[in-house]
Amino acid sequence: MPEKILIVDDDPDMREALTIILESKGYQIITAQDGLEGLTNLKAENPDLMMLDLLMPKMDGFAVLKELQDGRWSRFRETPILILSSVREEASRRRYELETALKLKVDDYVEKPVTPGVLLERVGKLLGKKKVV
Amino acid sequence: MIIAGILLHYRVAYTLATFAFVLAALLAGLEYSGAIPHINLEGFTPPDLYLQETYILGILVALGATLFASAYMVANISGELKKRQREIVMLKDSGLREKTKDLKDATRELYKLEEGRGHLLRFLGVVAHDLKAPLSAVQSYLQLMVGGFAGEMAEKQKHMLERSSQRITQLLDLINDLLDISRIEAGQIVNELGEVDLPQVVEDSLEDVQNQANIKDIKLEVQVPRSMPHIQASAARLRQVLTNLLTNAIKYTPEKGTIKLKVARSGTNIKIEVGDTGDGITPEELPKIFEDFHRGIDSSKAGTGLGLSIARRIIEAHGGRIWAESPNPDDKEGRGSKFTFILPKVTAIADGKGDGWSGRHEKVESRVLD
Repeated sequence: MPEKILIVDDDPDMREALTIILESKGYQIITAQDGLEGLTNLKAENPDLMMLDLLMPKMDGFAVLKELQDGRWSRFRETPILILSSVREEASRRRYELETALKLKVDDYVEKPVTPGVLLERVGKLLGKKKVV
Repeated sequence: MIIAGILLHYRVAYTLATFAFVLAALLAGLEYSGAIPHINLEGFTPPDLYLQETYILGILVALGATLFASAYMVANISGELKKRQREIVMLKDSGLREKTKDLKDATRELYKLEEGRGHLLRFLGVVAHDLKAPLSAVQSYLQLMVGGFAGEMAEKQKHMLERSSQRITQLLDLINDLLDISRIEAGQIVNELGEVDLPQVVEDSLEDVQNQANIKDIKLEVQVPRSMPHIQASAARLRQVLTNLLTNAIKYTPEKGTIKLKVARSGTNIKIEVGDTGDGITPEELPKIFEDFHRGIDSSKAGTGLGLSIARRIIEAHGGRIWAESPNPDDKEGRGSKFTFILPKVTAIADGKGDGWSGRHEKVESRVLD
């Protein structure tokens, strides 16, 4: 069974580029264009991995992460999240840690523009970790 | 009379003078007309002086003149003095009111500036996103095409796409640097201050440049005290500075060279040095290297030309100083350059190890590539 990946990003070109890379490795892809749609699809599809852009209209990545800490989403606590960011790392990391009170680990993070190699490596690592659990 | 002139309102003083005069005149009149007995001061004046009209009149005139003259003079003088006093008090008062108003205005300006700064930083955040997002999308597509994800690519096509991708990377780097400068100038670093463990910052920077050093077979020697007090700074920014200095050192040092990084205490300050055995910097260039957009003479070595100017801004925002020497004074063969920066007035936060700073713990580590 191919692994399912949910891509949440407001940039359609980014969604397409990421989809092409991941589908080439056989992953099944679902997409969402903002936080709200992302959460809906998370609930509906229960993907093995969620890729989350931080800066989106309507409901941004920070809001999604905060929402996921609520008890209603406990079912998805183990779902690995790969964060996509387009601003320099430090500003995003600081805000992430501020808003979610969690430490941002380097493996959970990839900066745009993404190189296919780096992206696949990160995804593989996060999915691999999940399997061990 | 004189006392009355000073203390009382001038009209009252005049009234008093008049009253005194009338009283004296009355007494003289009464004595003259025999209504009251005259008491003679033996041997003082002739006994029947009080009966001589001219004498009485003369005395009364003289008394009246003296009374009124003194009342007038003193009232006038004290009136002047009182007026001056009132003027001084009024001046002081208005001076005080002006100063209070100036203070209120200044406080209002400060609030406006703080608000403005907040707006500016938010604005820069939006600019950052909106400039980089389209470029990221373009770059992603280019990478995909070059990587063969969009079908077979002719050599010429692949070459052009690779060149395009490189130019986009340059542009993204430039945008990052420009935004950095704007943010630092807008006082962003104040928001980033925290407790910093310097050895960790050094560790992170070394990690950033390890690959580059490996490629050129360059030796990185590190001298850092094992235990150091935590300081108040921005860890990310200090890492940025160190990584920049190390990257430059690697860039301008030929293969198999050596780069030495040393962290030490200098009085109450912390001194960090990065020395290399590379090309060095000419005396003409040395004073200009920290300027914006200054690029090394060798333009083949890519870069935005903003790295050192950003490093300078960061160190200065921490209240420190950064400078360079060339040739490297620590190099026996007179090669290379040494960059030093100082972080001043270190507010050492106790690290729980007692003295927190022990030269005995210095470790020298040589990192060589395998």
